[in-house]
Amino acid sequence: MDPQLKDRIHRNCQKIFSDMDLKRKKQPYLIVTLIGAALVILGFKYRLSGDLVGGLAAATAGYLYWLYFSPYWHAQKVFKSIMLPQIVRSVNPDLKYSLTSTFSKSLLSGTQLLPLGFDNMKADDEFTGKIQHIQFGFRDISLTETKGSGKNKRTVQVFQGVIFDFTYPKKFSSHTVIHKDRVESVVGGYVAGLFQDFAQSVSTLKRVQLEHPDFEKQFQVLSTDQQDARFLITPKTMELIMAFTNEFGKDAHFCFYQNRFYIALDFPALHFDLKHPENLDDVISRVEQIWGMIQRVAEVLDLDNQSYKVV
Amino acid sequence: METFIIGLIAVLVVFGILTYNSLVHKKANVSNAESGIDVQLTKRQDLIIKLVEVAKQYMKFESETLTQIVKLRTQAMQAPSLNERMQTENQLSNELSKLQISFENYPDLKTNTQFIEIQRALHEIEEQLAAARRTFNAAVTAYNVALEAFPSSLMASAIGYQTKPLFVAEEKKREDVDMKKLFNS
Repeated sequence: MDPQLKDRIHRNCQKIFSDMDLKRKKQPYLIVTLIGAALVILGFKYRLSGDLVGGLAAATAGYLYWLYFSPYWHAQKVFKSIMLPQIVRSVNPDLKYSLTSTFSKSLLSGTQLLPLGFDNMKADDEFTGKIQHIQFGFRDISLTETKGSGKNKRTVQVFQGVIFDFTYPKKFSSHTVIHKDRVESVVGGYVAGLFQDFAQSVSTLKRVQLEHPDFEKQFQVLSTDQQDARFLITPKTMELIMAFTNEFGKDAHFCFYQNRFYIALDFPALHFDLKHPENLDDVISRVEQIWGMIQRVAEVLDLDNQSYKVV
Repeated sequence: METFIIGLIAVLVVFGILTYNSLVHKKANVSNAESGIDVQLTKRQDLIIKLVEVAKQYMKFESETLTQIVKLRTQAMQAPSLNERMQTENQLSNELSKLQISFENYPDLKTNTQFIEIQRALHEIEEQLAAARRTFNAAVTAYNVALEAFPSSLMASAIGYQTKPLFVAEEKKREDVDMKKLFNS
């Protein structure tokens, strides 16, 4: 990174943090504490229900927590929306960063990229740019599902990872997905086949059996078009996908949908929070790591030379 | 006892219907896959004609190869079965490979926009054709396995279904490419 730019960013970060400290000092902690305490005492005096008094105490504590942390959250938002895009551009001029993501829940559902149910999706920290002449997107994704009912209702995280998308100039003729074949690896081929046949009877995506035994053991391919699936997944593609999972982890899912190739990868949340201006180097190196990872993904999958790439 | 026999007959009838339908579906998949190959071959034929038309304007010294390609194309279109058609198509592929090598001697042709477009499309069709052949082989394998496995083999022999041959890569294509020979030719 250019030392002058780094120095400028560092100074701006210091400014953001000093503004944060100033704002924190000005927060009306004392007034809120006094009002809260007065309400709780009055509650006791007039013998209000224990739940109501407890609620008042919890609300006061929550508001104090918010008063203390909201300047920090605001500082992080300012850092991520103003400083981080500059850091990202300095790592690669074609790379763009956005705090929010355009990747929608309905799009994820439409792709059927992940073989799991979810109620809510959180997508942020999005990187976009060009690699090997291909437009790509990369973002942090967290999926949750509400389980149980009544008092047992709870929200469970069902996926935490990243989703890549690579845009091709031509629309694929089919909708094809490659899922990690969990059933087959647990219960064996024949029984897995029965499970899968049953699951597909209600789906528009039908199972595609490919000729690579190792690939078939690890993955399940589903497509709306048997022939196009084989056009997209050549023996070379199968080898590349296996090489990808060996390098980036077994929990990977792939999908060809409309004119995009998607990859979902189990991955820890991308943290670009700047705890302190002195930690700027950590954030820069994290951005460099992410860019290195995106490049490596394109390299391992040899995206530029795939049969579906229309030059 | 009577109920048991009626139940057994009912199970056998349902099983027979399911097996029959499964065999019919598998046979239909083979036919679909076969027509998939046919569609790609027809697309390739159309492109070959366009390629020859463009190449003719530049390649004055390759008329023999071009004539041979047109002749093989006509033969392929008139072939009575897919297997015979594939044999002619393979010869056609060999002639096209020869032609591809000789394109190197015609730099003007290589820069022709229409020619570049046809080459691209031809390359994609070759990939689609490979996929169509793999689809056909997968469908034939599933069909043949059903015909030979018990108890569907009983139903298959009763309705007169017979195993189908797979597409096998040409011997010539399986050999390693002799680069020395290629460049000295």
